[in-house]
Parts: sequence; C-alpha cells; structure tokens
Amino acid sequence: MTIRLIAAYLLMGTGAAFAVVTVLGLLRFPDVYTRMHAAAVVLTMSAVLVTMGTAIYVWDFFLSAKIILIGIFFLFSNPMATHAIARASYKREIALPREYEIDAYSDYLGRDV
Amino acid sequence: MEVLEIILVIFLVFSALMAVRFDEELISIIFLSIFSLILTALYLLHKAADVALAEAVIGAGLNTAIFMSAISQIRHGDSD
Amino acid sequence: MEIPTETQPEVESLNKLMKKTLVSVVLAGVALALYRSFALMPGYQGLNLGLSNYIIESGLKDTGSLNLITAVLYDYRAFDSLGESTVIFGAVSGIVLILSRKMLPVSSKGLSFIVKRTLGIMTPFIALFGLYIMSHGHLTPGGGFQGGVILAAISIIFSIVYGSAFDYRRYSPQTKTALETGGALTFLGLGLAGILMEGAFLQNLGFLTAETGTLISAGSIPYINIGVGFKVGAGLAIIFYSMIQKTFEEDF
Repeated sequence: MTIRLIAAYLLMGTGAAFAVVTVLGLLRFPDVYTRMHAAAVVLTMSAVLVTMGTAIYVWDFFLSAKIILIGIFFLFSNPMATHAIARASYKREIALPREYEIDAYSDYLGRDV
Repeated sequence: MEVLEIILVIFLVFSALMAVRFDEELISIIFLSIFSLILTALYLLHKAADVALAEAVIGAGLNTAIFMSAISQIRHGDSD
Repeated sequence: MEIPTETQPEVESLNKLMKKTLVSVVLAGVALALYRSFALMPGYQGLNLGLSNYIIESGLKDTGSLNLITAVLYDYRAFDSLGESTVIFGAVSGIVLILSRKMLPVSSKGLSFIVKRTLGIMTPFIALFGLYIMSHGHLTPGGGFQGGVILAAISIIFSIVYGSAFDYRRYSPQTKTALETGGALTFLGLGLAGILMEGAFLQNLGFLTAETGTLISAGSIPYINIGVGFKVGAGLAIIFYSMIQKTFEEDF
C-alpha cells in the first residue's frame, strides 16, 4: 500500500522536476530551435511521468486506463506540435539558417542560403 | 488550497494586463489563451467541472483559432 | 488611401498615449460598474436558498439526470437553452452573410507529412471523445455545447492541417447546414412532443425514462444534448470555414 504511494509520489516529483528543467531551458537557451528542443523533449517526459504517477495514485482499473490514454495522447501530440512549429518557423526564416554550421534542411528544400 | 488559489488569481490578473498592454496582436492572443487556461484551473479548484470544460474548449481552443484566422485576414488586407 | 509622409513621431506617440488613456478609462469604468453590481448582490448564505435547495434535493427525482447542471439546462430551463441556440444561429447567419465571398475555397497544401499522418491516427479518438461528452451529458460533466465545440475543432484541424479543400470535400457547407438545421429541428421536435404527450412545451418525456445511471435514461435530455451538440458544432465549423476562405495560402 505505502510502496504504491511512494512510487506514485516519486514519479510525480520527477515529472515536476522535469517541468522545472523545461522552464530553465526556455529561459536560458539562445534561439528558437534550442528552446523548442527543451520544450519538446523534457515537457513530453514530464507530462508522461505525471500521468503515470497519477494512474498509480488512483489505482482503479478504468480510471487508471483513462489517465494512461491521456498520457499516450501527450506522447503523440506534443512532438507533432513541436515539429509543426519548428518547420513553420524555419520556412518563415525566424532564425536565419546562415548562422548555423550544418544545415541539411535547406539542401532538401532546394534553397540557396 | 488557499495558497494555490491566490497564486492563480495573481497570474490571472497578470495575464489579463499583459494581453491589454502589448501592441502586437499575436502576443495578446497567446496571453488570452493563457488567461483561459488559468481560469479553467480556478474553476476546477471551485469544483465547477462543467464550466471548466466549456472554458477550456472554447476559450483556449476555439477562440485562439478564430482570432488567428482573423489576424491572418487583416494582415493579408494590409499587405495588398 | 493616401498616407501622409510627414507624420511627426510626437504626433504618433501622442496618439498612442491618447489611445492607452481611453482604454484605461473604459476599463476603469467597466471595473467600477462590475464592482457596483456585485456589491448589490446579497452575501454568501451557504447555498441554503430556496430554489437551489429545491433543485439539489429533488432534481434527480424529477428529471433522472445525475448531472444537475444538465438537468437545469435542458429540463428546468430548456426554454432558455432554446434561446441560446437561436442566438448562435443568428451569429452564424450574420457572419456567413458578411464574410463569405465565393463558393470555392482557396486551398493550401497543408502541413507536412508527419503532422498529417499523426492527426490521421488521432482524429477518430477526438471525434469519439466529442461524442462521449455529448451523449453522456446527463451522467458526467459536459453536455451538448462542450461536445459540439470539440466536434467543431475537428473541422478546424482539417482546414489547417489538410488544407481547406479537404474540409470542403469531406464535410461540405451543405452537410454542415443540414447538421445544424437537423439539430435545431430535433430540439424543437422534442419540445412539440412535450406539448403533445405531457402537456407543456419542452416537458421531459415520461415514457423515455429508465433506471438512473444508465446511458438511455433521463427522459429527453440525452436527445436534446445530441441535437444541441450537432447544432453548435456545425455552426462554429461554418463560422471558421467562412473566415478561413482566401487565407492560409502559403504552406508550412
């Protein structure tokens, strides 16, 4: 009984720590794409960990199944939204590609930078 | 409970002020979306699940899309 | 439109200052009015007032709906909900009359392949969630309005992600108009059936009640929920569709 609660609190606390790391990355990283990297990777991990912790905390079959479905939804939607935002900001040239050393995507687009 | 509510109300007023303050429309819309999300959390704290669902769906989801399309039309008209 | 070239920066800053002062004055006036109207309200009396007490005590027995908010919206105050959906119908009519310019939409190519494929997987689950919210309005939080807006979000996703021609082919404006009118006619038909069977407009139909807590129970409330849901969803989708015409031409 208590081991289950301890595991749930551990998962939720790890997820909250990942969210704090996300905010740090958003504040400290230099430009659009690295900030988006922080928001994508760490925030997906944080949301999935918090949903897993909540599913262990309530410990009822149908309720836990619904919460785990919400976690799977996060796992699909968050990287997809980040991909869409990154692609749109690249095509709008929000951060200029000539500032980077390796830029493979402009070759794919056929754009001479 | 009390501390969380006070923090949420402070952020609510802050996001409303920011939405009025900025001249750029896009930032105002993003702050309105944040306003709706904080309001959803406040409704859930006061155990009004129906109103929270309506606020999350309409305020954070539908209003943002409709405002974005309106901005897009205005900018198209300006550039022409 | 001739723009004068010699606009001094002082004039612009003065204009901005005047605009901000005007906005601040209007906001302060609205805040004062809200404060005065809230100060007129009676104090918090612990929810022991007559009407709310009555609804909390005998709402389940009267309507058979576990969700008391849905019971108030679609049974006790169903006539007000009919007025609300009429207001939405008026808004949709006005926006379509002003904004829609031509029948064929200018389409975009949509977003990238990854987004299209992922949303192709996720969209049926969003539709299922919207239908769940609509049909379980008398059991769980939610109802027709919220579920209808979730269904309208699917149309917005189609317009943005797949291009507006896809939305036009799958759910044409004629289909949306038929759905909206069908929802409104369901609402009105249930009201007229209330006159015929129970003796009052929008009275809860007695022969449809079943055991409390099951899906098909609570009289005519689930059917009104479904009608209002399709009406609101189709109406908001029409609003977004008529606003998105001739925009979003570039692909991202």
